[in-house]
Amino acid sequence: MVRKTYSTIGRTTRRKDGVSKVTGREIFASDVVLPQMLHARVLRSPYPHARVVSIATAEAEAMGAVCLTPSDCPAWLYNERQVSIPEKTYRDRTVLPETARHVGEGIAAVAAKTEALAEQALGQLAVTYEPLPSVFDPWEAMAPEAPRLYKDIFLGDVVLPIERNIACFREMREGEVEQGFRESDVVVEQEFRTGRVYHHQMETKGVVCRPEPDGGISVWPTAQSIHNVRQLLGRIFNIPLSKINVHRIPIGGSFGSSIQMNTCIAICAALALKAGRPVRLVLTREEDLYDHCKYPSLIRLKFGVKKDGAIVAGEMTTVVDIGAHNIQAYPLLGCMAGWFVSLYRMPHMHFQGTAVYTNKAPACAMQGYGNPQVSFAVESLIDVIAERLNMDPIDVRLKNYVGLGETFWGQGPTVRSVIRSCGVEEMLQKGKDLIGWESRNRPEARSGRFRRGIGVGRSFHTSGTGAPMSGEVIDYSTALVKFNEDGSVDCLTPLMCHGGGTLEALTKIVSEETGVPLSKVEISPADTRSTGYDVCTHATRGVYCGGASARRAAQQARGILLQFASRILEVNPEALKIRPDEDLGQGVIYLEGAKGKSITVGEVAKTAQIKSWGTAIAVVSHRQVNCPPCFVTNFIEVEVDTETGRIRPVRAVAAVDAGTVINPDLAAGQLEGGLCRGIGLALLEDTDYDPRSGALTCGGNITDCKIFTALEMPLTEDVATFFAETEEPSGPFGAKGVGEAANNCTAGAVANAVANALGLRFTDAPMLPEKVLARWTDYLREKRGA
Amino acid sequence: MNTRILKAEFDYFAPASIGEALALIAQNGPTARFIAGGTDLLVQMKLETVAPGCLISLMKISELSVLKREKGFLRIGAAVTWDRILAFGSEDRSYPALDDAVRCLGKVQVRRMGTIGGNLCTASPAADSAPALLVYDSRVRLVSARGRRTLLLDKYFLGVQQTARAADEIMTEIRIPAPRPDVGGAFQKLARVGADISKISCAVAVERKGRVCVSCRVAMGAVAPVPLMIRGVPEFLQEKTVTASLLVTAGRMISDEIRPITDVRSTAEYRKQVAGVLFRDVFQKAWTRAGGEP
Repeated sequence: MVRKTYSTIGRTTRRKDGVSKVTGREIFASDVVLPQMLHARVLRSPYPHARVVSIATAEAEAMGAVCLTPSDCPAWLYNERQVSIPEKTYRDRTVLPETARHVGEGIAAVAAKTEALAEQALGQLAVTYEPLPSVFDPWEAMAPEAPRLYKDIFLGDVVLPIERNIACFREMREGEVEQGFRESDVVVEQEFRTGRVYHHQMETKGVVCRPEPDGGISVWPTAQSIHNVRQLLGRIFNIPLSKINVHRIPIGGSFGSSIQMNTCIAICAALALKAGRPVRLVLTREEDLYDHCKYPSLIRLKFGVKKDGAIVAGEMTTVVDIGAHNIQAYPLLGCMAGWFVSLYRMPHMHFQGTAVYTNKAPACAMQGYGNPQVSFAVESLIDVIAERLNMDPIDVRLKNYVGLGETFWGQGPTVRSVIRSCGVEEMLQKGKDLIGWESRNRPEARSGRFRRGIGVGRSFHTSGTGAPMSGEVIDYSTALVKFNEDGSVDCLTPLMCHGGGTLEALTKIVSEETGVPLSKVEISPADTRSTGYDVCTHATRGVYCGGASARRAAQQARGILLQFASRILEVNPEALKIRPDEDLGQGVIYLEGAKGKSITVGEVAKTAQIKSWGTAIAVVSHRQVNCPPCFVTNFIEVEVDTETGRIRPVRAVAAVDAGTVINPDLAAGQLEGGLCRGIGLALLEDTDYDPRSGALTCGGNITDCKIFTALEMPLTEDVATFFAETEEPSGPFGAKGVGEAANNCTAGAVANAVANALGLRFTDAPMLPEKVLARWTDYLREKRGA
Repeated sequence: MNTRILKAEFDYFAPASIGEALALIAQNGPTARFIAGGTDLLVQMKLETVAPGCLISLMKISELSVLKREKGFLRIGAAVTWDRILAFGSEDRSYPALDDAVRCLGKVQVRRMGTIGGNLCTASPAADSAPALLVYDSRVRLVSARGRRTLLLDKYFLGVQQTARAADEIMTEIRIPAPRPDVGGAFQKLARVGADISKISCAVAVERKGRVCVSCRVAMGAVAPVPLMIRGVPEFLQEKTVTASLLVTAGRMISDEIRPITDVRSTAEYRKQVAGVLFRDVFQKAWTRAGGEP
């Protein structure tokens, strides 16, 4: 297809926030300093499960510290994640709990003049605990005699008893799965695991809260949704939303770690309200490591296929160890089912998911939200099918993938839409050529210490959670666009950028729509008082949903501006166009073919002001009624050192079908970043717990919780990225998402590459050298024995 | 637990001479500690595993920042930072094992702040500089109010974070004899990621004549309570023609000699399994270098 040409969209430009970020002048939550500000620290439970009997604060108070204990806090149970509709929101926590349910759970807090003083005061709090029995394994947690984390919680406004620590359970069927397996020629089944990965975002979570004289509060949080923070604080502290102002402030990376209102925000707000002074609370890395993690997965997957490779039936059973709080396990299970059924057609399917409480740090969304875990299992088993049927793994994928015109429900059963753009085939074909798929050998052909193998993995993510009908997930955005009196443009939106260039993309969308050069389009500072609701920058929705709302606002403001111009030029507004003139630094309004009938946007806006016609301004709240998949494909070559068990990625091809690509260099960067974390999921990342103490074995210490960096990635010249040539009809200028998709298929591709190298398949990530060497030694012994 | 906030209060001095530093340690009682780059000590203080009442910085003492060749030795002042040693190693290729070690030691921040003396005083069994310095037969110079002494590095490490240095002694410098011609050296480690504490490390210095190993020294890190000088293998290889099978046998001897533990970074079993492989890789690299290749 021929791509449309744009003046700004798709151009590589210098980031507007680049200078402030690389020179250290950007202000993050932890940099906010206010007069009279106190510094807070949180006392955290050393026990995985304990009742807090008493907390004596007298000595800390004698040092001048303001102390906060559970009895100072509202008793209302909340869920920090505010994206599901209320009746699907599980509420199990308070600002400070009376029972600690994992090591590192905050149970009291202090604020003092300096952070060091606060730390000293923390040491003066005298806590009496009553340790309770704890449980760390989800299977043990479901046993009838297991210690119980909760007797009951709230689901919406209804009391929900918790039995056998099961936080929630979902089951979905389409067709008759048993019949499907009977009709299959080959049935394959395996169990897969992925680790409890820490987000490892660069900035630890933090917040500054200032109580206001009117009884309200101002907040500068690490957050992906300022509106959800405001709504929760309003509900918890019973403050009208009109008196709560949450400011958007740049975030130092996220990976989903601030997708909810971080619990430190509620603690800090409570402290500030009690102290009557601004309070700053910034988590240490160790606290952050005990705050959240990725949902680990344990997946049993079964496929039935015909001899020609056509999938007939699929069954997935998963148990998810969610840790001590149910933040969003219900939508997670819906999505895991969605990721499972939407990658390949299967006439008959069955999904069963169980989320289980254990005494560990709570799991929450992390880049992919269950999709990297599901795709790791699905893509591994697709290769097993290819092996069994003696087919090329790419052919099995081409035969079964869900594509153009098909219904798809990636974000769960209530988010159904039809696929209108699809680059799956293009990416497989082009990727195959780039990696040299045709020269890929079978593992039997290899010998020697270092063995290389090539693997493919594909996946997708949804662009947002919009759909024709409102389901269980909230999804819409609000944006305001206005023409300033000099011809520049302001765009105001509560949308957040995690660093991937979401707001940068919005400036390009607005520039393209208004015809004003990019250098004259800026994103305004945003807070909850001055903006309409935006659900969150999550679900790979920033550009597709947030960008669509900005484009609509720009369209409307442009219409008003052209009305003004038509008065001046004395032509019909419908006949006018706007083009950017970089030399003038202006949009130029003109009548095609008519010489002399042109005027700059600045002149029109200024005239409209002088003549008191008004401002060309529009605000739009918009929901996308589609949920298009952004497809991804990775080809990865690994080298396995069979004498040390070390697996090294040596070459990679990463491709995405993101529709029209708005920021090409940043989108390629997303692909590379996703590749890095995906390889980490496959080979390195996990956090485990010492069952005796309930503490992380890394002790919360980042020195012993590693991620891969540029040092472990293939060399730059050995990584190829490309974009499928597609255009999404429902997206702003044809755009879809990229963010989460980028890492969804990587772990599967790595597993397939390792299997191709060794003839030995690993189904339990991470594939640490210790594990690889031990299995390889056993494998060789068995082979020799046979 | 935290590694950001330093809540303890303490006195701090930054003397300009060794004499002054020795006087300060004597005046400030048993909780006084010397500090160099602080990459280890400050973390320990934040974690509250140590609580010095007084810190005496050694970074302003010019004598401790010497870095030069003199009378058959390379003298490295104890307060010389890794990035200086790295820069030196880029110009002077006499000690490739040390250069290898410094290149994979920590990240930019640690190399900028951390010092060679600090690394040896902390005395982690996994200290990357230690095996390299051991195979070059290095010595450490210590000074206290009682006088100066020189110790072979091999006699300096006593246990996990325990050394022959007394609390009131200052390590002034490390002296590395100039290697004989035809000696090649190398260092490698296995770690979880590129910039990390070793799971296991190995250094080799080998003197080569044609295909014959005239002599060699082998040291390993993270395989025992101290950075370990390997005893059996040098004797075994001495004056032998080097073959692949000979090195396999030597690797097995090393696996038998080391006494690793299971910790957060790896397992005892794995360390035993890969020790021989690592030794062979490092030996091969040192051997090639001894032959005049890069």
